[in-house]
Amino acid sequence: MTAHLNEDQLIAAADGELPNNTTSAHLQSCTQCREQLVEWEATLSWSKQLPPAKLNPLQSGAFVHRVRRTLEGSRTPARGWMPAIVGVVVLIVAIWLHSQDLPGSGGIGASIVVSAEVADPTSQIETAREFAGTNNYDHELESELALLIDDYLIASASEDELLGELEWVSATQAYAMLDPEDRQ
Amino acid sequence: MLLARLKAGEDRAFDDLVREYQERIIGFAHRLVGDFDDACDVAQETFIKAHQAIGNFRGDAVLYTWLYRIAHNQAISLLRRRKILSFLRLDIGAEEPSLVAPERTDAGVECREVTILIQRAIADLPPRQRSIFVMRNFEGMSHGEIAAIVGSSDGAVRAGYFHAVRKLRKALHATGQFDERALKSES
Repeated sequence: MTAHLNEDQLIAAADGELPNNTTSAHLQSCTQCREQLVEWEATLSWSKQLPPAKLNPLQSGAFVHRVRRTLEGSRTPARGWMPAIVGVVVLIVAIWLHSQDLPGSGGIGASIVVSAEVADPTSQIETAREFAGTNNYDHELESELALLIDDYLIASASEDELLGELEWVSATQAYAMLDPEDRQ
Repeated sequence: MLLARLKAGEDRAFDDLVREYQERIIGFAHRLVGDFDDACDVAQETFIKAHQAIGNFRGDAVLYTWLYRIAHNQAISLLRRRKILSFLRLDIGAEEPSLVAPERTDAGVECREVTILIQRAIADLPPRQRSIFVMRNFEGMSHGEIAAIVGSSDGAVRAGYFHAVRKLRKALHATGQFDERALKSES
């Protein structure tokens, strides 16, 4: 009698890969391996029964429209007066945020303004980290940071760079943030 | 030919592309990120990026494989971002959404419980492993197709898939809520 099949062989067989002659012969003669195979098949069989996301016709049409609208929005050239309006809005927001930061007010303006300047990722993450340590938790800042991390990850997927930017956490903690499979 | 129309810059061709693949891409993203709205965002970004890059698509891969590659990257990016935000404790009180399954009217309570257990087990897989598992188990892709999408070797994909299945089985065993052999005979 040949040796029992290992887990990889059993999973492969359960997954539908055709076993070679030796594996096949062993399965025919070994009750233990056959029982194991049934268990692996059951695991896969049950996970396959999870229902897929289905779009109804309304959702389907709305999604096409949404993508089209976004695409056309991204094509729209900036008009000449747009930067001026943006500048005025930013100025007003900055003044308002500054007023929120007056002594004793406990405002969040400084953090947001730093983010709005689109500075380097390190300072923004650092700011966010300090801010997270306070009780002034704010969803707006979370969104700012989410965008920053997204841009950062897309722009630079290097593990070393990411860990470098997050040097304020311990190496163990930093590695815990990355999955082994994701490390290139 | 859809690809030729896309490359020619025909606007309606892009709408046709979205119409044809939206359900698959949203479904794939949904199984990866676990939240329907996030899945729609991932799918939208996928199609926008595809539109921007269609001129560079050389046709040496199948169109849907190419779309899956973009969607995979978008979803992994979202999952990483979520993980970092969670690590920074900026999403206090917010748990990573589990894979959502509509209420099954044709199944009993026990079945629903097992479904939730499986959903959680899949959601607990590392992003890349989860993506491999979803593509293989739900999308029915070959190891070769998945390898092309995630930019890895066949062997690495097989290993990742086997790891995922092991973890899934372990999670199901840990619950002690069902006898796999009994389930097998039911299915």
